[in-house]
Amino acid sequence: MAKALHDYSIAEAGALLRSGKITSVALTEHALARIKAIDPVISSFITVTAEGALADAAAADANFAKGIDKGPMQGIPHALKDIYATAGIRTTCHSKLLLDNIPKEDSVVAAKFKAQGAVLLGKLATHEFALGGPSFDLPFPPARNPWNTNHVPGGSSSGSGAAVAAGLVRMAMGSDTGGSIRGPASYCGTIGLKPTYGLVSRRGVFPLSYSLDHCGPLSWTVEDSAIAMQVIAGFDPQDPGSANVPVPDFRGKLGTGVRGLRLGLPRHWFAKAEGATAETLRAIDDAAQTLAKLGATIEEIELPDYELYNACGRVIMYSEAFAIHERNFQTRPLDYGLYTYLRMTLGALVTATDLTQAMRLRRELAGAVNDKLKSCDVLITASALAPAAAFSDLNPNTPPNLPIQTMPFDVTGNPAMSIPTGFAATGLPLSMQIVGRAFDEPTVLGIGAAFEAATNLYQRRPSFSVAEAA
Amino acid sequence: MSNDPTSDPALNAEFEVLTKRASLVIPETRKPALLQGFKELKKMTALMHRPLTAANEPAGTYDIRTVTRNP
Repeated sequence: MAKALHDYSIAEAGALLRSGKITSVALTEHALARIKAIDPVISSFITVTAEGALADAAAADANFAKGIDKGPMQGIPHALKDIYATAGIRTTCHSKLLLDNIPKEDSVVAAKFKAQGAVLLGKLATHEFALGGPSFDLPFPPARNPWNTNHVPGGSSSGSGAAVAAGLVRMAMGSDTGGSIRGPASYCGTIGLKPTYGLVSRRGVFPLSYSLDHCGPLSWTVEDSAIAMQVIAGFDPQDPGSANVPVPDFRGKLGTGVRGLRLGLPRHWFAKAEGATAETLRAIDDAAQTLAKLGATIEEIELPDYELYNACGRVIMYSEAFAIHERNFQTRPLDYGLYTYLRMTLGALVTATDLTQAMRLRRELAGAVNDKLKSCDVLITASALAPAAAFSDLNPNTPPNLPIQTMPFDVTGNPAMSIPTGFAATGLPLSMQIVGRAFDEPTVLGIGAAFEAATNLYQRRPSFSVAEAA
Repeated sequence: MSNDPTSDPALNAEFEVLTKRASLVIPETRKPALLQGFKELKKMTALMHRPLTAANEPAGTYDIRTVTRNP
């Protein structure tokens, strides 16, 4: 092999599987060995399904041998945030409240991967119920950032970001309500795609906020997210938020470049934002220059105040989250971790009028973004405003408000992808977002792929002081 | 009590009413952090109360086709 097995992308590993040069069992054994060696340091997995994974892998190899090919994820190990229901496999939401929860049915996403013959390695750490964390008062430890384990990996899809960055999986599923895919992707230096609202079924995924929840992948390369999207996208009549739209070819614009595309840059959102570091800003400006050199036109644009988007999203999110957890908050509130408790209780303090006004404002804010996307093909903007914070910088008695600007596109529903832009002097990753028109993920992915190819940042991986597997 | 609705006593009183209405029993040790969070929340909800037009119609905001429609 030219490189270690975990360094092959889904596309590369898929080609090797189909040519018979590797087996799914070999890929899976390698991944399980890495999890055993590295995960004690980063705590990205809550449950490792080794036995099932090896059985999945053997079944995939048997299908390859018979000439049966169910799709690009066949034989590929992956993992799911532990809010995705998995039949017969504990699904805890990283919470004491669901410690013994073993679903009878798979979530739609889990079922789609299973139907493709993908290999499920296990369930990943999350901030409790996709909201709290990073907490030390829960049944499982918080995931840690593979680039520096003294730092947070971001959340709430904390285990997904950490596991992908550490090379334990090529792709892991996360969920994004206020930035829970793109935050970990930013802090861990991976791709994180929040698809258009309604493009991926949320059925069987424990809800945080009905009208803001999105399911999407984190991966090491843009193409791997595109492959995952091809498997999981599609209308689900049993998900009330699901959109009945054609599923595009997510790899259709990979390799087509950015020449002639117009990119809107709402610099006023992040240039003077509290918590923004000079390194982050410089990296975004450099990224814009790179895309301009590749042939795109960069146009600075004005949007409504960022704080309006953030406030609108939080008012809706807290309200819907509390409504979901109301009964438990009345009967067993102290079973929640402190951060979750402090965040979610705020939903009880939002009035009906506040919520209605937020819903009215939401339409206006979405309209403003979509208006800009009439003349711009995508927007590029900040994701995290600073590298990942250290655990030691967090106040254990107050939930952290980390500087990150992801909420606007949960509010508007547009597809938004976090992509690495470089590294801080500390070695921690930096990032930006690429935001597209509703259901135009192919353009977002295409621009991301062009930037990725121009920078090759994905080739830099974290190293570990522990003895690594093969 | 101060007439200023953002004063600490006023926020405290509103907090007590809203938590009682939600049938929540708040441990005393958790009140300071929750009140701090409530203050931040009030700043956010204040931003929601701004001039809005008939076009700001909230029905169907769960539907991407209407969320993303143009103004």
